[in-house]
Amino acid sequence: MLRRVLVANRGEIAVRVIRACRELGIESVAVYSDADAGALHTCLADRAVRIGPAPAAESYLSVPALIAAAREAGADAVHPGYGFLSESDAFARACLEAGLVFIGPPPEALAGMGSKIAARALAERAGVPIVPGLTPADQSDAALVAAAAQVGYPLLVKPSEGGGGIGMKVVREAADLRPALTQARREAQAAFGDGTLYLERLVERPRHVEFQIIADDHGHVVHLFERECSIQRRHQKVLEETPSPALTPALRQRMGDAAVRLARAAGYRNAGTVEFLLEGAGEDARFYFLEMNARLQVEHPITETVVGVDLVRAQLLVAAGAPLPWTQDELRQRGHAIEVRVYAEDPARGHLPQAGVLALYREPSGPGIRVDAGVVEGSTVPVHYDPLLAKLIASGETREIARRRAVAALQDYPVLGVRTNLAFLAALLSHDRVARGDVDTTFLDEEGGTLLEGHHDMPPEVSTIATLEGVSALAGTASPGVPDPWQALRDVRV
Amino acid sequence: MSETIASRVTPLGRGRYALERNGRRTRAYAARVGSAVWVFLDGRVHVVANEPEAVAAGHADAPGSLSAPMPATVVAVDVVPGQAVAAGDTLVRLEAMKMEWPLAAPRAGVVRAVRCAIGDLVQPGEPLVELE
Amino acid sequence: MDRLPSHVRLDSPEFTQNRDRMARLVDELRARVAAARLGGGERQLERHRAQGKLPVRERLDRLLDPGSPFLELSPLAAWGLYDDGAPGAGLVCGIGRISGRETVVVANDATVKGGTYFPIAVKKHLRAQQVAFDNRLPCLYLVDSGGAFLPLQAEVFPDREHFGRIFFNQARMSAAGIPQIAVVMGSCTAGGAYVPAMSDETVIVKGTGTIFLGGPPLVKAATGEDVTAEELGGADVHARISGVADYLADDDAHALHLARTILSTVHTAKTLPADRTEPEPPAHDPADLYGIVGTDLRRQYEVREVIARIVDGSRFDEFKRAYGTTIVTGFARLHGFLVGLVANNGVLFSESALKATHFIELCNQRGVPLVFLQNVSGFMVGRQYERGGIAKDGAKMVHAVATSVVPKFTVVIGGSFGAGNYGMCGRAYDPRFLWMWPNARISVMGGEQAAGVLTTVKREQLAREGAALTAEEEQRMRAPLLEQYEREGSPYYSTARLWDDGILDPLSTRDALALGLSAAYNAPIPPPRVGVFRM
Repeated sequence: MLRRVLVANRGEIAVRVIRACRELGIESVAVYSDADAGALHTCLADRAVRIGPAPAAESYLSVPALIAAAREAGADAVHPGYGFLSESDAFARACLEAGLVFIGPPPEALAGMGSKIAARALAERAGVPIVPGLTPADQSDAALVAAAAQVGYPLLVKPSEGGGGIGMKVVREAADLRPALTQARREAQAAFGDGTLYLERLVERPRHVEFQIIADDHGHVVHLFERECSIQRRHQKVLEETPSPALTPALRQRMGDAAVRLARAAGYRNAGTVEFLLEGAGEDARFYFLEMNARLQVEHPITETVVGVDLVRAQLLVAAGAPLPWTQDELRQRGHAIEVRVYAEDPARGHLPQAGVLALYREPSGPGIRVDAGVVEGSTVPVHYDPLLAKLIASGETREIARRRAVAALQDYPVLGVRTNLAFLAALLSHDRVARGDVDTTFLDEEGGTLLEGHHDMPPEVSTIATLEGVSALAGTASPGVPDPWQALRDVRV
Repeated sequence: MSETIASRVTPLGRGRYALERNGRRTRAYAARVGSAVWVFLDGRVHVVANEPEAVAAGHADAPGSLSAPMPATVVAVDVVPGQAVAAGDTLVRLEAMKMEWPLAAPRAGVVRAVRCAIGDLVQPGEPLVELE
Repeated sequence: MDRLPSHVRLDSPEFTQNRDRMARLVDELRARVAAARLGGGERQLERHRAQGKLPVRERLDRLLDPGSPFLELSPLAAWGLYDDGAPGAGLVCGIGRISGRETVVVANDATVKGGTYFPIAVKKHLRAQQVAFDNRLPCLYLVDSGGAFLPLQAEVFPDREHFGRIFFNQARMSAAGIPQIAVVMGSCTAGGAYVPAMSDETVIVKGTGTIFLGGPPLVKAATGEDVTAEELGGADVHARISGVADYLADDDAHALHLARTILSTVHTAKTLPADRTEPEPPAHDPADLYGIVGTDLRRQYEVREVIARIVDGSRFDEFKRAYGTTIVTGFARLHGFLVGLVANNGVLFSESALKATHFIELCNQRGVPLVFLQNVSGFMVGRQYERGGIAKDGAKMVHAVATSVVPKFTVVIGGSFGAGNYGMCGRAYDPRFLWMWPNARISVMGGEQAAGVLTTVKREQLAREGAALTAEEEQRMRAPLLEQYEREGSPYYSTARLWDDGILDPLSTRDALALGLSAAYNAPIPPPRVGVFRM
């Protein structure tokens, strides 16, 4: 079994992993940058090691700093969380070379999944459907134009390396292709140092449906069903749910089998997610392999809720060499779960990330409500990192119950001092199409604007409350806890 | 017939408030953030700023012109008409009671006119510099 | 409360120059305080230790609660006096926490002329007692003194505020319920014997502590009796036979432990105001104070920039902001305590005096302590102002300050000249504490003005006699006067003579005020009452 795990991450996922370690009797080691010296994850772990200044490149993205921290703390394993170095084969390799267990797939699997071309080739070999697409060896404009005709329009021009939508262009007819190629090549070169382009048929109004898988060292691979993540803003997921309203049992089975086949073909270990695009609905729907995320996903709690498992615990067990705690036959979906991501951002100003101190922060609770947070009241939200504060997961017997619970919880979730998207999320969940489950990946682009808080008249009570709060702060509501300067000013010699 | 809206706010401590409106109860939360108060009510956050304009703008109250606070001699004029100045820049230096009194710009602006010269004996209230 | 903005140019040459000059003054202050803390020097210290006695600073360290702040009073008393032969006037005084109670400690430093009382030592001792009286703080005397410094007896013994007053104060404080405790850790001769004898409870250290009215030499001279100090007034004699001491200690450490135990039995009635808020450091960096203030008193600086670097969160609710603008008044929090600030921002006019009077009355009615930030060249002069009644308006301010019942604190952050000193709660107006910054100057008027007045008087006198004052004569008159004002206006001249409670590094001002404010709450605030304001 693992003895001491270094959690190479911050925020809510670090908190999540630290909790799982504690429940298994494993010691946890947090790492923190100067900006996170007082952060929740830093305080919660059994040990904490400073890894550098605030910029992520010098702290959470620094392989040498993390390996040194693991050595210093005497850790025997590393959990990378998601984001940062979680999918870096170089980091995974560095961990192994330092004698540390990397809680994730082997470096070779990471490297294989990191390249879209290699991943597509693998999917093809495993008999998993892929979106028609080509990466011509000859990258001249002429060769790409010819390849485009073969793929068919509309199509996407994408950098072969990288992701996150950078350099991606939609081309609806042949006439528009050449300028798109020039621009995409330049952007790909700038962002990834490689201008190789990939052409792909554009799947219109697809749903984004992904399958959770996990594999152990003993030849077992299982899937834990799907998550529907169609509601995205600029390729960032905002709302996830499971089960998907679009899957039939037969389709679910076919997709799950495909995901497991792919994981086996890749020699995959530990938790991962196979993403598909889904076109159409019901028995006629077609699905295409999109990519594999070789890590724990942000949205893993909805799977945990509906399948009734602890994925981080399973990750730790598998990494320690134990067999999977469940077989495919034992896994069932029960009820429905919805997750929304609570960001420190200002939806009214283009979702601009926000920073500051959470002057007041009170999480909702109740039946079917789970909040995975990386902050508490008084926490500082630094400017340096992803502004995810927390995830709210609502569940119930039916989708509608879960949805109503989520809305009620969002309206009972006061966060003051830093602007958040909480009201935006409540509006999103109250939207007709979301209520009906009639969404695809274009939803937020089309409807996002209508979800913004318009100009609302301030209820008259607000100024009453503001006055009362302002006065009580000035008058200092009797505060016996405030220390006398004769205690507070330790060792002061005047 | 006039309609009356009865609402009552009761502080519960630690930023919590109970609110009763026309017989319906709800909860609200509030916290001071800098000089503003943030209020959470009915799932929405409202920011009530209470920083008065004058304080935000600077120390002095004069909107456009700077005048002598007392009888004094002008010992230096540091700006010329048309010059852009930042808040806090010294515009004119006066001497009185054996003390030197720098007159600073209360806000950023452009000097419209200088109404004094070195050596002038100026009286209280006399405008010395005008800002656009 | 609103946060004060700051318009300070941190990159201006003026700021840099000011900062460097103030930093030099603070370095000089630190060096002088460090030198004074050495007491009578290395040789005396060795002798002291050889007798099994702890140095006075170590006594303090063992006496105070671990981590307790120490608000020292006038560490540079007697600086430049008595041929610099009495560093700190041979006495360490201050407030510290003992067994959880703020206590005034008065400790003799026997390495300085045997701990004898120079005139300034008497003044320092009396000042410490005054602090204890005003704030109702227990007094602990660590006695190790040969009594009055005999060569200067005429300046030590006979007058109202001389040696006898120490015991008068002990009796009056004891009567007022303010505990008086003595620890005899060395000799306690002649008048000094009354310190333990007049105390409520007394500890004496075996072997080193002695108490007698006349020492062996005096006894020999008076009666011919040969007697050792131990036989005459040692610890055993007083703890077993005479009853002058109550507790017998084995050594210094044991005596200090007993003193801490005694303090733990003292009832205190400290009531902090219920409306304290969570302390918050100033939003603007206090380190900027050096560059803002500088050392050129002729330059008026914006006092709100100073306030913004002393009070909690730089928040300030300004009162009558647009009226009488050369004085700034308003409310702020200091380590969570609500205070009323009165700060000069220029010469005082009638309006400024009226505004300050109004604000001081306001604070008195509400029981809010007052902090005066003094940087004042005086009241405005001139025909227009005299006709406007500036004298009676200034008088209102002085009256309000004099009759004020709330705790008052004064920090001289620049000039302290003329009647401005009175209106801004100078030493004569009984602030609980008065501190100076190293750049401060204090005198009845500026040297230039004094020279100007005197030469004008002289010129008029000569004119009546039909003569004229030559430029050379005028220069001869002016030069010594300017030199005298320069010397006597120095904060070191002031602090040496106990005109203040010490010179503060501007960066310590906030802490000093917080400790003083908190200590002040050991005493109740009486109801306000004023006399006749001339209208």
